[in-house]
Amino acid sequence: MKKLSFKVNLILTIVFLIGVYFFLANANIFGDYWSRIITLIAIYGIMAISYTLVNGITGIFSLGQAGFIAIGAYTSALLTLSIQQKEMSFFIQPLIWPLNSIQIGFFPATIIGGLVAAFFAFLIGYPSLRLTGDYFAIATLAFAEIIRILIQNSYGLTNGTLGLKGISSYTTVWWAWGWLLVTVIVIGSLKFSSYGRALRAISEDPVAAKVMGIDVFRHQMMAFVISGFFAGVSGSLYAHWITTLDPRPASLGVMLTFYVLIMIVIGGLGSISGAIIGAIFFAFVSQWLRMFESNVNFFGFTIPGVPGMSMLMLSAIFILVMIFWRRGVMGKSELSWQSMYNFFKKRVGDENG
Amino acid sequence: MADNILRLERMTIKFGGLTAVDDLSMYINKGELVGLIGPNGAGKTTVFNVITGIYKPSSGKVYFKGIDITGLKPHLINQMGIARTFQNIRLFSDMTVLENTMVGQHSYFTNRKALKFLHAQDPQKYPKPSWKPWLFSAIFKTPDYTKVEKMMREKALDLLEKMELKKYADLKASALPYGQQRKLEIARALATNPTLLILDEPAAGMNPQESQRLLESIRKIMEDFSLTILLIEHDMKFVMNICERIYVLDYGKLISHGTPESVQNDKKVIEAYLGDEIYV
Repeated sequence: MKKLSFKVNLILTIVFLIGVYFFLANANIFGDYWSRIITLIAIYGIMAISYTLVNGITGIFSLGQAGFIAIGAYTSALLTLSIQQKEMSFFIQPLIWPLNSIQIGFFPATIIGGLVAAFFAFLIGYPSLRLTGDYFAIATLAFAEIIRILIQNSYGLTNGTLGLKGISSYTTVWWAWGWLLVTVIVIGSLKFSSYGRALRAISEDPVAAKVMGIDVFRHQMMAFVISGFFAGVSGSLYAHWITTLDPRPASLGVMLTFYVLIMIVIGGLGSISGAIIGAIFFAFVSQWLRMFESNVNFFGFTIPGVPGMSMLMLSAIFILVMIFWRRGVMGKSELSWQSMYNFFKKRVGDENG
Repeated sequence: MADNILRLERMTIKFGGLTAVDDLSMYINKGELVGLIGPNGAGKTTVFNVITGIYKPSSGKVYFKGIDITGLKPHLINQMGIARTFQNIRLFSDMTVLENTMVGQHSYFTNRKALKFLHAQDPQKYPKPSWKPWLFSAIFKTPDYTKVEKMMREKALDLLEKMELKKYADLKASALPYGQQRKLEIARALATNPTLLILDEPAAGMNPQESQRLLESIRKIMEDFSLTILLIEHDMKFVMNICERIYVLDYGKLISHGTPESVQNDKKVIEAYLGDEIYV
C-alpha cells in the first residue's frame, strides 16, 4: 500500500478546509432552518468529541457529561445576558450580586463557562475517579443529576424552574465551527501525543499501565478536566444557539448525556472523526424522524402521528447499529487521507482482481 | 547488606482467611539473576504483585535500594526502577508494537524530575525541561516536546531491535505470535529504564528453541542495561540454566533457598513437586 507523503496530506487537508469554508459561508442558501442545523452539528460535534476523550480514549465510562454542559451553558448565559433582561427574568428572587451587574462578551463568557465546567469536572472527578467501571458511571450520573437539581432549585442564581430566556443568539455558524476546529486540534493533538498513548494504554489495561509508571488517577483526571472544559464550551454555544435554558431532564439533563453517548457509540468509541460523524448522523436523523410525530402519508396510507415516535425510532436505529455494527462507523481509528486512500484502493483492487 | 537491591522482610499477605504468602524474607543483590519457583498456587505471582505495589502486604516490609517501598503506588515503584512483565500477557493489544514500547517511556520522559536528572547527565543529548507544563507542550507540539517524542521513538526502536521485534514495529500487538508477545512485554518493561526487572514466566508457551533464544537475550539485556533480574519460571531446565540463586515457595512458605544444585537436591523441594515418598 502506497504511503501518502506529508505534502499530499497537507494539500488535501487545505483543500478540504477551503471546501468546508465555502460550504459554511454559503450555508444560508439552504434556508434558516438548515443553517441552524449545520450550527447544531458543530455543537453536537464538540459535545461528542469531549465525551469521547473520556469514554473512548481514556476508557472510563462517565455518564455526567450533561452536567458539565449545563454548567457551561448557565455560566456563559448568565454572563452575557443584559442587566435589564436579568432584572426582568429573576422576578421570584433577584439574581445574586456580582452577576446581576455585569455583562461580558460572548467569547470570554464561553471561555469562563468552559473553565467553570472544568473546575466542576475536577471537583466531581476527584472523589469519583477512585471508583471504576459501573460504579464510576453511576457516581457521575448521580453528580450530573445533583447539578441539574441544584440548578432547578437555586432561584437566586439560575432562576430555577423558570429558566433563562432572552439569551442573545450569538452562536453563528462560524463560532460553532471555529470552536469545533479548536476542539479537534486540541483533543486530536492530545490523542496523538505521549499523553494520548498513556490514555489509550489506561483504557486497554489500567493495571499494566500502572506498572508501566503511568499515574492512572492523574491521567484520568486530566482527561476528565479537559473533557469538562470542552463540554462547558459546547454548553455555552448551545445556550446561545437555543436562547432559552431550563433544567428539565429532557433538555440539559440525563437525556442529553444519552444523546451524546449515542453519537459517540455510532461514530465509534475513541475516534474523534467518528464523534463528528456520529454528531452529523444524530443531528440529521433526529430532525428527520420528527416528521413521524405528525401524520405521515405513505403511498396513500396515512400513518397517524404519535408524540414521542421519533425517540422510539431513534432507539430502534440505535439497537440495530449495536447488533450489526458494534464498533461504530470508525471503530477506534481515525479518518485520514491515508485510510481513505487505502479503502478506495482496496475496493478498486478487488474489482480489478 | 549494602548490596541488597531488593529485600523482603517477613512479608505476609492474607486474602480473607487464606494466607497467600507467609512470613517470606528474601533478598536480591545487585546484578544477580534470581529465580522464584514453586508448584502452582504457591504464591509466586502474589510476591511479584506485592513488590510492584499492586497488592499491599498484610504485614512485613519491602525495601528497594534501602528505601521502604511497602504500600507505595505502582507507578511510583516503577519510576524508582522496578519493571515487570505479566504471566497472562497484558499488552496494550489495540496499539502497535512501537506504541506499546513508547508507553513504557511516557512517565520517564514526562516526569520533570527525571528530565532534569537526564539534562544534568548529558545536556547535549537531553533538552532542558521547559517551564511549561508538559501537557501543554504535548498538545501544542513545542520543539522540546517533538525532540523528546523523537527520542522516545528512537529508543523504542532500539529496544525492539535488541529484542528482535523491529520488523513488527507497526503491527498491532495482538497480531504478534505468542512468543513474540512475551518478548514485547520485556521490551516494554525495559522502556521504563528499570534497575530491577521482574519476569513472570517469560518462557511460558515457548518451544525449546525459542526459550533458548530468550535465555540468550535475557543474558544479553542483563549485561547491556546492567540489570538485576528476578524471575518466575516453570521450565526447570531454563531456571537451572540461568539463575544464580533460587527461592522455592510452597503454599506461601519458603521451603528452600540456594544455588540451583543445592535446591535440586533438597528433599523438601522434591516432596513439594512430586509429593511424599510412597511406601508400598
